[in-house]
Amino acid sequence: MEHDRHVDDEAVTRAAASGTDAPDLSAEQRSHLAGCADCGNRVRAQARIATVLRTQEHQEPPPAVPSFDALIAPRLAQRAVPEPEPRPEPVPAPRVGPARAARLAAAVTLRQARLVPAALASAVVAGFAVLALALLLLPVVPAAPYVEAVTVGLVTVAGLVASDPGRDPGKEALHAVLVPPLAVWCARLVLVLGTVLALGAGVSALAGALPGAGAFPDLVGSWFPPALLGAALTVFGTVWRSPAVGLVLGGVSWAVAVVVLRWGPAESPVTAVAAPLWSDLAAASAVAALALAGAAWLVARPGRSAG
Amino acid sequence: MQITATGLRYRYWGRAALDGIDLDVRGGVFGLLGPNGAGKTTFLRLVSGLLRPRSGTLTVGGHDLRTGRGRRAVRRLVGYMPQEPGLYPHLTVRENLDNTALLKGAPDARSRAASVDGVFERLDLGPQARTRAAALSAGALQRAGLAQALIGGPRLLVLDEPTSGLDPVHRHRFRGLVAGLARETTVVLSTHALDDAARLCDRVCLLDAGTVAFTGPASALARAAPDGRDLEQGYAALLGHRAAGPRLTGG
Repeated sequence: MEHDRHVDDEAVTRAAASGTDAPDLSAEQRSHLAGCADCGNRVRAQARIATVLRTQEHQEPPPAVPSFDALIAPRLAQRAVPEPEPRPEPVPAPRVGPARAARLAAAVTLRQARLVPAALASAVVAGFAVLALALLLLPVVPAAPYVEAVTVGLVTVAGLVASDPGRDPGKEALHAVLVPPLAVWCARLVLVLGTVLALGAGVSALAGALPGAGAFPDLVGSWFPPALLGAALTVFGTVWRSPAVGLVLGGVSWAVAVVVLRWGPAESPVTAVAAPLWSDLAAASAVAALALAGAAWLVARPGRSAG
Repeated sequence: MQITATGLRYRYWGRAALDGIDLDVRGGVFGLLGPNGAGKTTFLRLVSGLLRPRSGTLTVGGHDLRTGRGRRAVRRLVGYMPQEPGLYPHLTVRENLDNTALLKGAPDARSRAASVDGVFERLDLGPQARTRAAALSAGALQRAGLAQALIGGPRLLVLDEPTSGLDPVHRHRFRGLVAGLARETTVVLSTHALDDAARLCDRVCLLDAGTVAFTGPASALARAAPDGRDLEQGYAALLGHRAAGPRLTGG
């Protein structure tokens, strides 16, 4: 049976849901559906789609709808976490300008005069005074061996006394200050050795003014390298082990310079080794610098006992 | 002044003195407890800028002590009192403190005198001003050592076993001094005296073999004891020792 006009989609949907004889369809629509194969196919297809949809609706959980709390709570919690603290500015430490540093260095150096035993000053002054008197009153020609013996000996003793770490008690406490023990130690060495060397130069100048005693540069050149080397070895031995070790090293150095090289045989294995070192300013300075650097390194280290 | 240590380690000739310390000190009085060799003095030396941390980080007042610059800056902010005060025995107390003021950066005699007078007054050291350090009693020697640490107005006071060797009267007096100082400066101290720690310290840290066994208020340390109150038993319990002391027999 042919039909000129098919039912609309709305009627097909109603028929799929409630049947082709559903009361909300008109009589004409019901009659058409009963006789039209095309529209019957449309109703059955619609019914199958509805069945599939209903089945899926029962199988799948309802879509998750994010709650207000779920959306907002994390944000609120995030706001509640304190912001990481900004890194605080370092506490400013007192600064020392160049002028103040210079005044401080001078004050620390002069202070060392009060921390060195007065006996050292007495011994040095007495030694050089006796030497000067001997040069003036006795016909000592040439003067170099005597100036060398006295000056090297006094410089060595001064190095021994000035470098003794035992002079600074509680070294650890003195490490935690602006001027470290190394600077104090250096200031003391500079003050003491500088003073003794200056006095040696003064006596050498006096001797140089005497007829036949030798020229001033030659006199200073005779004692300066062994004095430098002897003092440095004494300082190293004192700091490294003990004043006794320093005394031994200084004594050996003095003996080599004053006895072996001056009065010993001109050609011997000891002379061959010692002469370039104790007589040459460059070689003596190099070894002295090494010994003093080693001593300074030891002084700069605070106590290493575990605790 | 804030002190922050993270994973801090230090070794002496291969032996670990500190083995991964994490600490945060923020003012007040902070006490370091622990047996001999636990690492207390090493920590204080590190905090004072005397030693360089081998690994981990350590900052004092925002200064990184891994750098030479940081250590130099901290030495200007710290007053350090080691177990042995750094006093010249042949100088008087005043001469010693004047020398300390000089080494702390005061080249002018007048400013040094003012600084020394202030510390004398504060610690009641006036009567000992002209006494040679070698002739001081134990209590006066400790006060002179504290005076040495206080010269220059440090922002952080580091005291290594400050009450060791003091009689009870001097210990009580010393505690009062430190408590007064703590109102204006941060104090870090090490001690074997648990009652000192309980009375003085806002927080304590118990070190054991270079590691932190406990950090918190001293009262919390006592809670580790079987009865929850005895500080010494809490200390022993945390160190894993037998809580009971040696058995005493009557006779």
